[in-house]
Amino acid sequence: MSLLIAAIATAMGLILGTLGAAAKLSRSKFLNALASVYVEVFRGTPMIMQITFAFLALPALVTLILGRPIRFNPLITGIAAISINSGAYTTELIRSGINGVDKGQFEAADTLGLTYRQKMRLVILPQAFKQILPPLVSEFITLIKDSSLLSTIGVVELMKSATTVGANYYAYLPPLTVASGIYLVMTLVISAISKMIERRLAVSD
Amino acid sequence: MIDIVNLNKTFSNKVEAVKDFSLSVEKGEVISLIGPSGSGKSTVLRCIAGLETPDSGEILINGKTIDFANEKEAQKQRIIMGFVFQHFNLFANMTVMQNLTVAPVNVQGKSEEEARRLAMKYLKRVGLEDKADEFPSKLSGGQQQRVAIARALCMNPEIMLFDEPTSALDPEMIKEVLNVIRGLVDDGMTMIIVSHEMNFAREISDRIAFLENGRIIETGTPDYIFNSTENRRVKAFLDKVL
Repeated sequence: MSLLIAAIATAMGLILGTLGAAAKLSRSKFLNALASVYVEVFRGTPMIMQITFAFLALPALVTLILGRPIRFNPLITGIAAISINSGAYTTELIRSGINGVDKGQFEAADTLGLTYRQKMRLVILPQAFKQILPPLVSEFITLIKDSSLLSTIGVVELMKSATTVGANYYAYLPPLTVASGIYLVMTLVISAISKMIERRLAVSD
Repeated sequence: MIDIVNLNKTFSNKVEAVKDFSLSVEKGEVISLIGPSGSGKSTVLRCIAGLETPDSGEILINGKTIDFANEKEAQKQRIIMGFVFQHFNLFANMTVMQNLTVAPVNVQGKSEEEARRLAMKYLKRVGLEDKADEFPSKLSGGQQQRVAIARALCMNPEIMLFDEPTSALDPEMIKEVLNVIRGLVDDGMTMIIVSHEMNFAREISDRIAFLENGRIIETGTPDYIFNSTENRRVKAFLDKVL
């Protein structure tokens, strides 16, 4: 479950981050400002606050607007909150990745008549992606660990399962040790996979 | 084929790179822009290719003015130009073959197969048919520049613009690149070349324009520029570099 939460949040974060980076790099001042506010707000407040806010405060707001009480599903709300938070970090990652691509690559694409979208899709983003893969993986690993924060709003993931088992048997040492071990195995496996991908991408170096 | 009329370009740091620059290029003509560093040669070329937007002036392709404000349309008009950079700028994430086929397939709508056939033809022409599946990083500078020329040729350009094509190369690689360019001249390709290779410019050009501080201060046949001009600045420059 933790892995699933992190995977969905990373994927959503990647989509939001691409959009955010596009907005930040666009020529529209409005989009620039919008993306900056997004990044600053979600990087500048604690994730546990965002999750709690989304689950406890947002329904109140929606209730006010709709005029009838509403309750959010904790899992979906939690994943959405983590995704949006991850999107803010990924926006900065992708932006710096794109800025890191040599200016000559953009110019060569322009002189060959590639459209903006083709240039980005075929030339720039693949190179940017290669550069940001390591920090992107560490973002994914962070999210696996941060998925434990969803236990605070009642999502049954690894952390919650461990404390529940502990409470049932009046013994916290074994379940928490096992759960920690599982977190560690997950993150180590992800690290190993990312090293493999990096090696494969290195063929063009 | 290309007419440049009163082009002006000032950079944001107030450097006036190009001042009232005018030049007409006929079909089949080879024109070299020479002059000291910072004289605006490259900036002129980059304005023609759309990599810089001039502040004022006109660029006409086959009699039709480029509308700088309409980027998409301007890019379409410029499709007849091939551009070769000082630093090659091959796409680092693609093999040589992919570098050559990406634009014909995505811009001209050629089939993958047709584009590959064309690519092989031009790779043979620059003598690198055995490097089709290598990544650019595995090639020498001279080889990369030959691939870059082949990449531009794959778009079937009517005019080639060369921006100091040999300035980033080790001396022993300059010749192989110049030979490729020489071959294009023999085929009657229209060209504008910015170069520091004076002897090469003298050999291949129909006309040479000498730039200083963003203006053409002398223009004429190679023979005139190298042997009979009375312009002191030109003479002093040529004395220094030859």
